[in-house]
Amino acid sequence: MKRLAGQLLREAFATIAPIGLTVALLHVTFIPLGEGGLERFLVAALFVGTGIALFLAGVRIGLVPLGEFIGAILGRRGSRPFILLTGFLLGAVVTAADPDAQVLTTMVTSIMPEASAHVIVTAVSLGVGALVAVSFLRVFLNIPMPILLFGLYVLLFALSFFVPPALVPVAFDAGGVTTGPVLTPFIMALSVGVAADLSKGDPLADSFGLVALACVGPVLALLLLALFR
Amino acid sequence: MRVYFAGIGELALEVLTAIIPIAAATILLRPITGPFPPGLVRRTVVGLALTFAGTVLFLQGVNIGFLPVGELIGTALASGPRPGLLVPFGLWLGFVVALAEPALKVLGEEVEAVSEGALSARTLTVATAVGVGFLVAVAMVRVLTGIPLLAILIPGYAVAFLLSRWAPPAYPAIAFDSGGVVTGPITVTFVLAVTMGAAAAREGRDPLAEGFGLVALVLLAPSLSVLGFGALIGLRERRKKRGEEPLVHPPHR
Repeated sequence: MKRLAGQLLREAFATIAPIGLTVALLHVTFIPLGEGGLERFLVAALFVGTGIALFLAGVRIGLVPLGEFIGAILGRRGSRPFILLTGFLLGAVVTAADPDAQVLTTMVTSIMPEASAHVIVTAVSLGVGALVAVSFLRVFLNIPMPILLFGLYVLLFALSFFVPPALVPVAFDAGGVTTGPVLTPFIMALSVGVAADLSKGDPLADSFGLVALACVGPVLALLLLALFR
Repeated sequence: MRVYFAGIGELALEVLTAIIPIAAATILLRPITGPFPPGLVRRTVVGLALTFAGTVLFLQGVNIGFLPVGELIGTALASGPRPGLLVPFGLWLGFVVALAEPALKVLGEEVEAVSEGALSARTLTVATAVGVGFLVAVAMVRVLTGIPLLAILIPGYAVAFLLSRWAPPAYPAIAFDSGGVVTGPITVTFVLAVTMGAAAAREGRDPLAEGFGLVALVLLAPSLSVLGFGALIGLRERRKKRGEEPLVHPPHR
């Protein structure tokens, strides 16, 4: 137990050390952080690093095995529509829980206070859910990944011309933001199980590309949201 | 001390409402999955508890320190005497933060496995980090000059898709995956806060339009590194198959 905690702290430290040092350096040279500012930042960095180490542990211990288990069962026993539905549901639900999704909402609402945090999280979660379903569909129909991705990006770029230009960067950022450290391993674990039984091609190769597809979801959702506001 | 935990109660509640649906969904699936293996229930509960605690702590740290300080630094640099410093700073920050992102190591190992050693984990990690640094610098240039995001993204993706035609089959999927993987918790919070702070400080720049876009750019970086290497490896393999050797220097006479 102690060893695990030690390892956790070491990982946390490694993750935040570069930023901590950079900021500390800046503080003593060009950009002082004000009264107690540096101290507050270092404590915050400690929180961040430890928090990351903790939730990564949680993902490894619980979420990944869960994803693998569910994926395997789905692969073996699920009917295709059911697999799609479950992929959609789990994708949506885990996205909402991903810490990065919360970060996205914080950042968007800080710039656009009239935007509703709940609407954003819901839209983004549905987007990811839909794309997880699409990724399973891709496995069923054996559509090559690069072609699907290409088509989806063409769609995204086309849509973005009809959206107020100021909203385009946020939308495109959403993809990278929400495919966070909790969602990504879980979805990969899930799809490994599904691909193992249902892939028409190479199951290993088929289990990649999922994150890329999931990235498209939030972008699509936000672009559509911006389109219909 | 009090200030470090300000707002943590509400935060915890929000995170809880986010995590509960996972448990609910799992229970909903029970009729299909049948009983869970005994260890799995315990692990799931422990896992979710750790995820909850970690997320709360992480978000608290982000809110009280990372975001404000990131914005402060961005603003200070952008409104200082040499705003151009943002660009080399971005290069450094992107590189360093990418190296620190937990998921990058895992990615490197995957690629090394798939390429059967042709692409070592270390090469990939460094190449990706350099790519990220470069693209963060590009994002800073965007903040300073207002170049539209699509003007960079569309050509960028065009290049990526072009490269993916030459790379061996498994590469494109991994390459595009790696974008989502590398844009992890640190990039997305601290670095984005810096660009937003910088954009806010520049006159006539809309922070919404210019501050964002960083993540989308960083998303491209690993794809380009992996596909770049992949294309080289793919081309080399094709030449080998055709009977030419890749590094033959014909005698000069």
